[in-house]
Amino acid sequence: MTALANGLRVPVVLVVALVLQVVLMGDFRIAGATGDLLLLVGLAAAVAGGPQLGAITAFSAGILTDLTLTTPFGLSALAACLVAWAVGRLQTGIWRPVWWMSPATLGIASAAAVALYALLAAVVGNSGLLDRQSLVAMAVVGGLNAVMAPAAVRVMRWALRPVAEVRS
Amino acid sequence: MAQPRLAGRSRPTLAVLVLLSVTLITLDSRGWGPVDSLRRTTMDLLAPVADTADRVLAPARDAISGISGYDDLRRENVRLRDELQELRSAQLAVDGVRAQNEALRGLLDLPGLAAIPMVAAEVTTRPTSNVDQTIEINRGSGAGIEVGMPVVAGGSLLVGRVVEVSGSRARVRLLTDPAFSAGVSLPEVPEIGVASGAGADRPLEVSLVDDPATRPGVIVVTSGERSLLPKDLIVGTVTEAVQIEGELSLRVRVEPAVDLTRLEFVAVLLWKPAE
Repeated sequence: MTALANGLRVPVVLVVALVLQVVLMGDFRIAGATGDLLLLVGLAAAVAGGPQLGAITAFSAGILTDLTLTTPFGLSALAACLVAWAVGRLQTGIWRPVWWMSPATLGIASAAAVALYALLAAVVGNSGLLDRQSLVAMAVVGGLNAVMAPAAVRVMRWALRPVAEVRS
Repeated sequence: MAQPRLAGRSRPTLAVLVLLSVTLITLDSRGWGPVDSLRRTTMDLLAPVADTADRVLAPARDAISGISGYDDLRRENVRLRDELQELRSAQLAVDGVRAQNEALRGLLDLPGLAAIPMVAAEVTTRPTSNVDQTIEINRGSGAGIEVGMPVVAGGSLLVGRVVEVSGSRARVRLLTDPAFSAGVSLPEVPEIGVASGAGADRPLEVSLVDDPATRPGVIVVTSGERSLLPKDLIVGTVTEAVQIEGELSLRVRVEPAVDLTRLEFVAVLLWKPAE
């Protein structure tokens, strides 16, 4: 039972992030753009658990995001897992992290994920996202995720701890 | 050392995830059925959870939107009071014209919008992402709603079109979504244009041949032709008509008639285009 509960931590965090995104973020817009909590969870998993766990968590978060959108299914998952993997690799090489590293990393990575999504959408024929509003979205998502990064990384360290214990 | 080993194992994992993503994108682009089913199931599963969370988080949500929109709300309040006074006067004239229009349509046996049955619905979620402009309403196929049906507010103000339907919920693509388009016409302008969404809080864009009748303040309605929408739904008002350099066209910007950021109740017109 304990093992089952521990194994459900990450899915529970993902579902909570999904519900909060759907219920809260629709009303919270800055210059027409809103935050992306599921992307935050995926990238925080990369910081907390490394590139492999980060990519898997971000892929799952992206799938959940795609289930609530009308854009091509799988696109959010692709953009998120690529960026999360890169974040995880970057974090793996850092032996003495400083306090501003995770907010800066998650902020920049979030903006990069938004940009990558717009580019990938254009590749599959949806070029409507390559506009000035995407720049605004990059800034808003990057800024909000940078602010929420410390809390998100702490949550994902807790959620991924059972997995890390099994691996070691 | 554990970390370099983990980093090394991550490349095959990433390759699998990328391959899976690309496969899903390809299948979805070919209309793979399970994706639509999964989305409908997600809508139905999320509905009670989101409703409960909405009730619990309503104070937080109201605080957030109040903080983020306070200045806008105050300015808009002043503007709306002035506008209300003008509209009350204009409404009297419009009521008279509408009554005359309905009477004439009745005499000529022409169907109007009033003849289209509609289902009232409450907006349960507003646009939650930066990549599409869709809302969710609390009626679905159980109420007779089907994909493609137009959605309006205030009787004839166009909101968007239904794009996904489950048993108890429907997803509506707003007219500001970049993937939305509709055939539109302006009074005294013979040509029909196509209005396309340009993103949240941005006017729609229409390309029309240069015509002096296309000027700011003119009302734009659905044309019923080159459109999957019935005729005469009010789309919005022209705010800008700019000549495109070197071309005969005008780039026309249309402000939506409905404030899409404050939608609470809409109606779905149970209407399908003639085949």
